[in-house]
Amino acid sequence: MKIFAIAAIVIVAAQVDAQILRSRRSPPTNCRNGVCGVPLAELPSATPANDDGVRPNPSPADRRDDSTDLSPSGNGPEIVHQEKGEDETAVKNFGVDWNKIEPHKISLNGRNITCEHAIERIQSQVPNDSGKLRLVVIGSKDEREPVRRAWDDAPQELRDRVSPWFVSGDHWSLRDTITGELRFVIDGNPTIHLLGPDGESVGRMNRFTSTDDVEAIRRAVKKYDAAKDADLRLPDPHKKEDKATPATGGDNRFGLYLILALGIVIVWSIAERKGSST
Amino acid sequence: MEFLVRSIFLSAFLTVAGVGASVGGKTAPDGKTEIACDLPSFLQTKNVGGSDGAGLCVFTSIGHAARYQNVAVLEDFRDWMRKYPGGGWPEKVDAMISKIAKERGVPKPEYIQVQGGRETLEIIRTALDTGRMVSVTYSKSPTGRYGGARIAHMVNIVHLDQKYAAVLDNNYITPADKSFEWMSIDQFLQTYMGGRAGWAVILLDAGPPPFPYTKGA
Repeated sequence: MKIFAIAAIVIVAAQVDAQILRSRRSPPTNCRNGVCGVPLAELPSATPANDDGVRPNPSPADRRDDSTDLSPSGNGPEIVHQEKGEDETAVKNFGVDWNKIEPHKISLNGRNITCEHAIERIQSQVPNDSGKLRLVVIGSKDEREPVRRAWDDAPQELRDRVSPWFVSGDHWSLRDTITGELRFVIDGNPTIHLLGPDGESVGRMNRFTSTDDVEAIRRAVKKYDAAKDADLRLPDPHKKEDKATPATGGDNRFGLYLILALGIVIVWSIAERKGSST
Repeated sequence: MEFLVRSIFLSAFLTVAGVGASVGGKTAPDGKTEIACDLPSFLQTKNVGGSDGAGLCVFTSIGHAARYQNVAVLEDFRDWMRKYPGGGWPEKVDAMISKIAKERGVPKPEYIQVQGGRETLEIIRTALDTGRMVSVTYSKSPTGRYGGARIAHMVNIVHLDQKYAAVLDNNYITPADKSFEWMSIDQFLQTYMGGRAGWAVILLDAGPPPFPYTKGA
């Protein structure tokens, strides 16, 4: 019984501690609209430009004006729309009109899909690119445009097998988002990479002269052995850490939970025996 | 008394042992799983108000997906929307996507909108599996953000496997190690559906390509 009492005290103390932590995140009562309750330390007023090591790019994000920021840390405007939830408490609205969301409705480019097989149809509308080759065209807009035009005129059969990606040389997707390291060759005018679905290099061109170059791409695509295509949904086979990790490896906390569970069972059974003997 | 103590003990254990939601970086609480859609933090934008002060979380989320999937016409959707009243719902998204494309003289990007319950989860999963970032409704933070209150909001789901979901909340654009809210699938469904029906917006352009490598190198 003493064991249970001590354990209960420890647990209650832990829960009280957790509650205190939660309440620190709750909006203080003197906050305007109750939306400024998150500690400023948790919510910097602006997105760090370079905290993941990526060279900052001028982008719409960098030109933003957050003067009417609605985030809980900001001194945002009045939240106009408030609705009553099922529990009759006011619902803070950050921009979704939930009353206009229907329980079962699917649309494609604004046109309703009302047939019985809506789900199957909509799934087919999400192109499965995991088995497609990738055509990556890197260069200035003037360098990319002739390729884009030629690509738009390419045979449908070719376009069905390849997913294009047209970007400038300073685009974020060409760099490792953690180290900032450039991962593509970009010294062409433009540089055109043809990659397998998992990134395997099929070929590269450092300039684009005419639509004949699209024919070269078509030949490379035709030659590519689709049977060896990797499924991108599977773990990356080129990651060393994945290879080193046993497939059966589970959550790191699993062992701790197992020990806790065993401890409870043992304490419980001891208590049961004592109870029955008295 | 003994029953009460046991109940407390058991409930505390189950609380601790459950797959807890947490705020973290690009790696799941298991230390291995990495987010599927890694939009650099300098491209993440905060939710702001429209011309009437109402929130633009819907258009901020779609802007995130547009930047991730290189859909140029919608990359600054949030900023373009600031001259219009805030708040979002499916028909308004249809109207505004048409309007911005027409105004800029470019073709309307392909997208789908899904409204419904648990059955829509597979569509969201398919989109993420094929490299697309999805904008989804969000009604309650499983980690206690917003004081644990019910809200009406849209965020981006950046990861969904059989165990974890991760969301990028445009009200919490923070340093990279605290950018994502990791949760169980059930917790995601709960916040996505909000007790009614969830709503998801999926741009159909492909996500970024994988980095190139040379076979055998």
